[in-house]
Amino acid sequence: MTERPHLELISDYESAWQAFVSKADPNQSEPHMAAPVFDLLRSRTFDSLVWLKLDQEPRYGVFAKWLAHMVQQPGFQILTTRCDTVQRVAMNVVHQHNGSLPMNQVLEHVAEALRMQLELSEPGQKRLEEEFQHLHDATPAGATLYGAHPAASEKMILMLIRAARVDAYSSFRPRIAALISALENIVAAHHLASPESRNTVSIEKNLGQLGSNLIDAQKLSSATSHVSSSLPIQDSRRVRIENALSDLRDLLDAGLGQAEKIHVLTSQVKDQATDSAVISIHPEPVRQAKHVFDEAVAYTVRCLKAIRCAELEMSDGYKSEHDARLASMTWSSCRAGERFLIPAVLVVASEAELRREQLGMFLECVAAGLPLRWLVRQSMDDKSVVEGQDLGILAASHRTPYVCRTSLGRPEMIAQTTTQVALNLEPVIWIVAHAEHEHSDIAFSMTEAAIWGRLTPLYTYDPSCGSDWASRLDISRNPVPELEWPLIPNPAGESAPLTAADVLQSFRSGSQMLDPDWNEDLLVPVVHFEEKARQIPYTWMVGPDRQRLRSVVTSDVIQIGTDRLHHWHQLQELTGYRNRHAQAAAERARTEARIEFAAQALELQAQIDAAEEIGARKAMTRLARVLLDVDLNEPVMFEKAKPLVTLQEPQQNVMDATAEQEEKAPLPAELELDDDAFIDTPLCTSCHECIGVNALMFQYDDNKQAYLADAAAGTYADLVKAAEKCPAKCIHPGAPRPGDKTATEAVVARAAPFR
Amino acid sequence: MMKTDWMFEPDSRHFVLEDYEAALARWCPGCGDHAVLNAVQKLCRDEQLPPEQTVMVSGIGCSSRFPHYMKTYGFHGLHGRALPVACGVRSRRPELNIFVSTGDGDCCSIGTAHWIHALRYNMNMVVMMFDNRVYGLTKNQTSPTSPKGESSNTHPQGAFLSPLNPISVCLSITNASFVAQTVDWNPVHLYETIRAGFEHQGLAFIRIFQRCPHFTDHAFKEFKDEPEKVLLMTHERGIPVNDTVKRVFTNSMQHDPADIDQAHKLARRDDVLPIGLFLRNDQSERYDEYTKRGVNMSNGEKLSALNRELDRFAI
Repeated sequence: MTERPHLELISDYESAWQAFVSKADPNQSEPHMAAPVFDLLRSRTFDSLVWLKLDQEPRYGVFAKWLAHMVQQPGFQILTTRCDTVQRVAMNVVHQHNGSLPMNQVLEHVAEALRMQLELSEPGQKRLEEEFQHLHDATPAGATLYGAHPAASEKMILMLIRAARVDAYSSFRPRIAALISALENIVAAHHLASPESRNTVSIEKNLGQLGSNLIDAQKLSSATSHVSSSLPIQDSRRVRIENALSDLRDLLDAGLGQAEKIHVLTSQVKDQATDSAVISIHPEPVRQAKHVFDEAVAYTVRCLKAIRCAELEMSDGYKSEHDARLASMTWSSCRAGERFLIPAVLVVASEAELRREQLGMFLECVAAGLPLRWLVRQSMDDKSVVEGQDLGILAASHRTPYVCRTSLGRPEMIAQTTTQVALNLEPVIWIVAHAEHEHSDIAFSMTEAAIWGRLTPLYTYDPSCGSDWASRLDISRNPVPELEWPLIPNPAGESAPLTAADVLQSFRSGSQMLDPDWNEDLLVPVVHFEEKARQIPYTWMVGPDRQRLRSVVTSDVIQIGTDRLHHWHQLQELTGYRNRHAQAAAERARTEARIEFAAQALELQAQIDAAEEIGARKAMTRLARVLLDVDLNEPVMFEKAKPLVTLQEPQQNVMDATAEQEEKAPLPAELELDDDAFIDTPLCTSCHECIGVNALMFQYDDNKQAYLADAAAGTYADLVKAAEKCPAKCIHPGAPRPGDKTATEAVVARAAPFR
Repeated sequence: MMKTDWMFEPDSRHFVLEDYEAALARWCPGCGDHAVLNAVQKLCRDEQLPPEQTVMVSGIGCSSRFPHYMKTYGFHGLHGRALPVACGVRSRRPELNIFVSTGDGDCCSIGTAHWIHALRYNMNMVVMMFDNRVYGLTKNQTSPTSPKGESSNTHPQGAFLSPLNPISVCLSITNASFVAQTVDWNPVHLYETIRAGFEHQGLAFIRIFQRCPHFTDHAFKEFKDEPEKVLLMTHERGIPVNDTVKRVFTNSMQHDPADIDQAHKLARRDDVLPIGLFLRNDQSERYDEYTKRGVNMSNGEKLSALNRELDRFAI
């Protein structure tokens, strides 16, 4: 999902503020939203409704976006201006129906509500009916709306898992049929090799009159089984095949039921069951889950054994050792297309419940890698939310499970992740934060505010994405994940961070408001508060007289905010947004680079000074010689000028003399070290020439192409000889090694064309 | 999650280069045949061709010793008769991978008739024609591709006639589908050419310029010493060329292997040595599509068919 730029959300701050103040009722017991939080959420409220359809492949979308797109089409007039009303009524309708309702039914409810509310004339009502009819026609067939209701997440997960399993079964069914057909053919072939088919009379009948005169049916009868290569099947094999056939036929018939069946285990009384789910109410659902899985997985293993047995029989690859392997087979041998066979067990529990007595059992199941599905509900009233306890990271530390921490403020995230991991062989854990409130928009606003205040950060931990935390953990769905806190404008129009304390203040009733004429020198925004500064932290709230007032933030809220910031820092570090080690390493590298640059600058300056000195000496010497009438062709020697002698323009006889000296002198040490021998291996034609010269020095690699195995295993003359023989000219002898007596002038000269 | 699935897979095999190496090649050191042998072995390994599903067919000559050095099935045939044998194998065993190694004498002289008709049959196989411009095994006689004036034991004063151009011949044969040319001294281009031929569905004719270090070492010296005299033909449907090839052969041009007219012009050029793919026609008919009919018949079906035929003569 793409985040909207947060600055757009609050562009019309003043009007939003006025709208909120005009509606706010000071006598209500509902928490007053801190001003920035309310404004932030106002534009996102309608994103809480998602539609989902499952007819062919799961598809989902945000209802508000679909509606906004629809009402811009030709033919819409009334609904174009009543879009917000439609969305608000739809939210309430869905909320009243426990979080989900078919989209067409929701639209009927909305139409009825609008007819009563707008009090239109008869033509107007007709017009409204036409527009709703357009909406009905455009509704995705079979779509259901899900809202920010605690029960919605469970329904969505059940529906999507079921759809994925049924789809996988449908894809695999032809394979089962093919295996059955192949096994039946084997049995049929055995039947053809039966004594009846080798009966002399039947052979004579088959041969006909002419054939019987030409061929001796008696002899053909004794030879038939060998001629057709179909010797009688062994009894053990026949039994094995018949057992596999029986299991596969059973799977063909009952596979759809197996795919559709989902065991739901919970300790809470269910309000609504779905067709495909087997609901078990149990005080300890975690302990029960393992038993349920172990019982159901026996059928899975039986089917897998039958499939493997059939595959091996098909390829005639069944050997006696496969008996033991099949006997020790487990569900983990399930391949990608067969995962609908794995029992679907969904444990629904609250985080508090899971944390209390069943944490050990939960972690045991996670560590064992059992492919159970966990839906952990986290109420905004839980202490764990404000105290920052994170069951997701605890589970992810076992490395195996897929973890999705989200909230009902992001139902599309639940839909997307469920579609992605419905058939995973690993444990899958959804931790879904929700707020319990009779008004859907307030419930949604609280969950959304918790996301923005980093109280319930969103993340996914996907073990298939890599081997390290940064690859597996994804926090990109959070607002502005690279910052500590998202920035939003405060009432003064300045951009300010929205902290956890701002959000927590919104959830609490009875906050202490400060009088507008309070001494501002003592007050400090909560984000800048430091305990040592002896100042009072505040955040903006809506007061009883509908004015913006500062609210004092208590020390426990400050502590919670600090803890949430630490938690957020750790998530950022794990995902690589703000890795302190990387930052320190980068700083160290920068420091080293600065030091090296300074040293090079000093060295360069020293060389420039030396060159200037040499130039001056040379000029003075030449001047002195001219004045003293000395022969200018005589070589000039500068002791200190040796490293920079190439800067000068020596006379011809000087160059000749130098050339003669170089011919007699050994090669410079620098050249010997730098000019190594090598083979351009990709160009080697494997012609054996170099191997013939020295099989220790030259060897073949895995592609049977030559490389220089050991330059010290032979002489420089060997290298040059091989280079000369090489048809691909891919041997480069380089410079001779120091002390190599074969590196005579003649050999070095021969090597020159190849270097 | 540790998977235990591997236990139930049918025994899978993985082949390395040594699985295709048979006897130590007894070609002379420096012979270009070594490069071709290595390229084919690498191709077999890279494609993981089961040795028992791979057949090397050859005629007579230095290059025709090829089957002895491959640990696959092989058929060292009669002089000039590699292609009929290969076509026979292809007709009734269409599942096999077939490579034919033949020389300039074997293919373009005594086996010419088979060569032309095999190209027309366009059965799926790779034909590697090793062209060293001499009969090497029999110690230096003039071959159909020896250059005019080239001295040999049969023509001590030099060959009288201009050489046959095998590429021009191939391009002129009806239904030819894949005609390429490469050199043995660039293993990368050699490998890619044979690989392209292997992937082509039909008969891939590949002329490989191959040095004989004893008799014709001078024949390709100018192209080895001056790589710019080699014209690299490139095209998206042609032989893939990587940086190693481009680094050596800097003289290149675009040639669409569907352009038969330009292919003829390029084949006739004697100022440069063109390498790459001259012709490719994936629409050419394949005779093996007809000859493979009925190969899957069971013995019972064969017996029934025989009975039906015999019944026609019943009185």
